[in-house]
Amino acid sequence: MRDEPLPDDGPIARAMDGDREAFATLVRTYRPLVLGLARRFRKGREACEELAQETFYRAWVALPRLRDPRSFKTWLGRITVNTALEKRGLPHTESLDAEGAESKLPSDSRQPEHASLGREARELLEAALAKLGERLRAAFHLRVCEGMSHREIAEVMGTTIETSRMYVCRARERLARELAPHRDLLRAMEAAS
Amino acid sequence: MSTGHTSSCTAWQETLARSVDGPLAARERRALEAHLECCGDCRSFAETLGLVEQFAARVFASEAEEAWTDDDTFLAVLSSRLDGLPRRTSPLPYLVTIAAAILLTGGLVALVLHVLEEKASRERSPYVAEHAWPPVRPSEPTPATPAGPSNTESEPFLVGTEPEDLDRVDPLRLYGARYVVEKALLSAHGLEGEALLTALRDKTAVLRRERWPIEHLVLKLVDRNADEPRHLSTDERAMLVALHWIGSVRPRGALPVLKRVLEPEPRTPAVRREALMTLARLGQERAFDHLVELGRRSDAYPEAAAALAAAGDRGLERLLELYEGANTLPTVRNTLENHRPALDRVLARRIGSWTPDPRAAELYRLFGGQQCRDVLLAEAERKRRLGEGLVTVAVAIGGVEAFDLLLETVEKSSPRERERLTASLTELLELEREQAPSLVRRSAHLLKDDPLERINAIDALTSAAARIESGQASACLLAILELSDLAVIQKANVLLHLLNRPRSEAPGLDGALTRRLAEPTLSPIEFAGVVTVLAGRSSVEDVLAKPLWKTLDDSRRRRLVRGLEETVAAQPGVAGLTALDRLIPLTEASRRRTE
Repeated sequence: MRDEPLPDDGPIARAMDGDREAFATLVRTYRPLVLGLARRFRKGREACEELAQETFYRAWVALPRLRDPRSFKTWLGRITVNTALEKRGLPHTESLDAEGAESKLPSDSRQPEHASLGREARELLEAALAKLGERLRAAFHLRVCEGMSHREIAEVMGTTIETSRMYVCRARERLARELAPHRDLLRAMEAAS
Repeated sequence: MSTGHTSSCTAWQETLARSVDGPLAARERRALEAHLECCGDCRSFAETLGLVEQFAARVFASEAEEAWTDDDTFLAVLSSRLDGLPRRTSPLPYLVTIAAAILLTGGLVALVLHVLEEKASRERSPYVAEHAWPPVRPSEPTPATPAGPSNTESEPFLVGTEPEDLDRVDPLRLYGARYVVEKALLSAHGLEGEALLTALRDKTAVLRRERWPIEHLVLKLVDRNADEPRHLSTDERAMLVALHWIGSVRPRGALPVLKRVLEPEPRTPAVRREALMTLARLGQERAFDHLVELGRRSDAYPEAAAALAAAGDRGLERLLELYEGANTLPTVRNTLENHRPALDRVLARRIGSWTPDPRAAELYRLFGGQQCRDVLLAEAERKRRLGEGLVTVAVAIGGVEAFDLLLETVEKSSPRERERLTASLTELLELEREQAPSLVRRSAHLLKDDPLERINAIDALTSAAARIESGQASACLLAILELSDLAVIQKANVLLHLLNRPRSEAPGLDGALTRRLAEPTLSPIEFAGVVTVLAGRSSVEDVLAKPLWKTLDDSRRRRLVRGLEETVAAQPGVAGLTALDRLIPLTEASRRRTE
């Protein structure tokens, strides 16, 4: 699980007041979150970057209406999801980014001989993720990568806590079924990590 | 410990997935633990869940570290966008902002539309004037060569600008470009619109991103054609360019629009053809459904077949479906034939799909080519077993390979499958009647060492051979009898079937059987069976029963004796006498001889 970026409320409050420098700080802090989510909806670097741009653009426009600065993270996630769903169906959204898959792999830096295994495992994971619905994919990402609670996921996805639980549970189940034939490869990746 | 997967495992696996999020209720946990103790599948599933979770977390984390552009570049692009916004010092009330935005946008759009319309009407090129709708006749018409859009003032970025520049075009200006294109097309400036679209041709992604609502444009063109069918050539060009784009820019909304274009029938064949091709290019099942429906409806749509054929493998699959439903259309068949390599591939996939397909063999006979045959055989070879569809087609393939495949499959088959396979073997032997006995003989090297598999194969082969109606049954049965290492009961079975075949079927059979009598290794039971067959007895079962003589009633004893006498009469000499000697304990004939 990634370390959660936790800036104080200062930049958020200042950005709400129209401080572009403070907003830039927020962009730097939360760009990985937005890009990570974008990857669950879009394929390709360009499309993800564009979605991130659009998200921050909308965030800036809507920032004055943010009620609670403490909920900035989920609020931004919600904008990302809404933007992605709104522009759904334009670029392909069904699979993950193959370019990214080759760029950096989980274990190749330490053991080059595991690079091809790592690439294969990552491609399998991406293929399995691509088979999930985009909501399941996003919920799973928020849970596993961002470590969000189901309440937060529900806020981001605009749904209930129970539905969030169901999304994450279904995603896990389907991924496990999909990857069950490659258990040995996953074990090898686990051992190499 | 069992590893069997049961239907309830799905529910347990759902519980396992839920348990990752937090502890289960005590009762549920105990039940899950109890299940895990006895279910290997679910234990493996639990392990996979954990592995996937950990691996996904690592992958996602590594993704987060690999932002593609650096923050500064990203911020620079964002800043340039934010610069276009009004400076914000304090938050405005939400509703006021919305209302102002609506008013501003509405006013701007109205203004832009008005200005552009004015320009379009004022600055028409001579070519545009010639083809304008309603027509405006210039004094001296100019040649209709679309060197580019004439409306240079409206969207300079399109004129004299490389298409690559469109990536950097501001969306609002792109909207302006779309507006010009639409105006040009709707004003019947077909070539001008075409030239504009040519400039955008390679920019499908840009147009897609901007969600150009081109379906409205197409519908307007359709309605106008219906209301006032004038300017055929320019309208056609306008429609063709619009159709060209709708498939790539608005694939999701294109289907109903294309249906509308095709119903009622378009004014020109070119539009109809383009609409059908666009429909096929959508690659959607519902689009294929409509094409099949059009193709079935009448011979008026032979292009539907061509469009399906051009839509890749799935299109060809649907075209096969169309052929099955409307096989009176020679155009459909010709179209299929013209796509030979792909057709073989599609056919092989359909036939080898392991689901019952009563049309498989017929389709194979109609269309199956060498490549299809090779694919099927390779697939069967890989699996070492034929599925239902492949069994059907193996018969259609025929020959030695199909026989080998069928027999190998029989060896491993269940009783239920065997009946189906036996029928297929019969069909195959019937089709290959000339070489049927030699096919049976070659099965000797295929029969496995496993006694059960061997019995399965011999039984099926015997039943199959016995059902042949083309006059080769006796020869095939004899070939089975000559296979080495047949169990006695199997030999008896073969003989029983031979008994029921007409003597005229295989003239050489009697000689062959008689020669077998001379074999010193012949068991008494087989000897009796052969004798009975030779004597033309109606049943061999009694002869084969043990102890033979005691089970026979008087009339049957007399019949057997007569048969044996005829046998000895037909085969005098040592062989016949030896044979009788071996039946001494069993037959009345031996008693007479002793007397």
